[in-house]
Amino acid sequence: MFARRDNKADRDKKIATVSPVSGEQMERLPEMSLSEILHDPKEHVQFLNKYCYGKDPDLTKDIIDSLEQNNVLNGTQDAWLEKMRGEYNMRKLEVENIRQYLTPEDFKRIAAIDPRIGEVVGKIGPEKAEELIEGEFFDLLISDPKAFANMVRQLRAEKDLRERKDVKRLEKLVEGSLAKTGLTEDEFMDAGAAGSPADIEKRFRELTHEKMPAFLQAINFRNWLNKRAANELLLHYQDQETFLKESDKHLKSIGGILRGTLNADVKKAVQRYMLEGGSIEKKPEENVTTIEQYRLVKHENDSATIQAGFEAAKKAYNAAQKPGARVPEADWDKPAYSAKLDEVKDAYSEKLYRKQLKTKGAGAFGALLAYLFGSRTKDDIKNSLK
Amino acid sequence: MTHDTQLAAMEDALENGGEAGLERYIIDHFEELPKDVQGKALVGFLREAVEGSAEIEQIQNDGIAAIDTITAMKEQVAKNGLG
Repeated sequence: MFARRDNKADRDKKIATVSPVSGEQMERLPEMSLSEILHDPKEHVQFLNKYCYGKDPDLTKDIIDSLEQNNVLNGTQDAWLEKMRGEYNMRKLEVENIRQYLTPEDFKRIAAIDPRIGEVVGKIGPEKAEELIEGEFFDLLISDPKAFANMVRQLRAEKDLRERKDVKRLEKLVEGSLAKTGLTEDEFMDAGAAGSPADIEKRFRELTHEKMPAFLQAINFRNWLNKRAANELLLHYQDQETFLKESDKHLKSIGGILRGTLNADVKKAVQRYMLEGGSIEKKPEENVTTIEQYRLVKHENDSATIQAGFEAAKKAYNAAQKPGARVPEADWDKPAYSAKLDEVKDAYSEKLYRKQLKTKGAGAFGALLAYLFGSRTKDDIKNSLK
Repeated sequence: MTHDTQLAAMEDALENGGEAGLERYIIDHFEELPKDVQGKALVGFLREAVEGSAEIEQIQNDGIAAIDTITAMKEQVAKNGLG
């Protein structure tokens, strides 16, 4: 059916070498033809059921029905499917591009930061781990291109940094610097090691970008023996005691923050804070990061709550109708009102399904939510409504 | 293990051990989990490992430089005074 589009010239057409999503430079790969995609079981599902369905569920459903019945697609379906093929190939290229950041060496390095990854990769091997991650990244690219781009940026930044220095060495340097200050652990805690990780990060940025530069400018250490620098210092600080007090104040603040970054729980929480967009205020409601939030999601998705919500949806439907168009409460199941019942069921299940797709979990909660929802589709929700 | 039994076991691990308990369960039973759940777990861990690590390291580098500069200056001022 798609033989005419398996033309080599079409397939070898130049594709963009810069990702429109992540901005990454990408190596050209041969595009897959529609015939190749549809004859490969894995590609078939990923292309039609995930990518195309995400773009236009109704059109995709019609196309799937036609293909299953061996019917010829109409002009609109044909053109749209070809457009999707082009986009799909680009999306695949973007995900393939991630491989450069997930080599076996990269996994070893990341495992040093996060032993959980080390344990999992130790069980399944780096190739299987890469395959699993690619699958998830494809879903992420389709559902949340911004989060995908951010992930690519972080992988690149992390690789750049880690290839330059060893994380343990940096932590030793931090310990060394803190020891030089002569301040006690308690003094650090009072100054800034306590508080939420979001506060710690914010305090540090304020300190180093706003308050510190003026102080540091007055004391150019490299020119310490330079008389001009010493005169500049004198202008800023009239006496030694004030200068030393000011120095200690800054040491305590910075030291406190640095101390915080050595704590594994604080580090993890800072990372989670960055994952959520760098601001607690911007945290999306659908993000599940605590047991309480998980319990709430589970409760919202149990069958009793869903059914109760459906009853409320029927009442809300009636409330929005003129008196003559309302469905009597006891008559919803009657054939005369089957179209209206289907309309309410469809709208309600669509609302729940969209919420399900937006519900994300950080870390292990992501896996738990995936298990909770399983392969539940909008139709599964709709068919469960009584 | 059935889906419901496995889900109940994961939830028990969460209720009894918090997120650390859930993570431990997922890692210990990783190969029993469905492929998409494995992928979600692995990407979840990866995102936590990578996201923010660059920012933390930058904070550490900046902090070390600032502390080293100030402590050296303090020593000099204490020895030679400001004038």
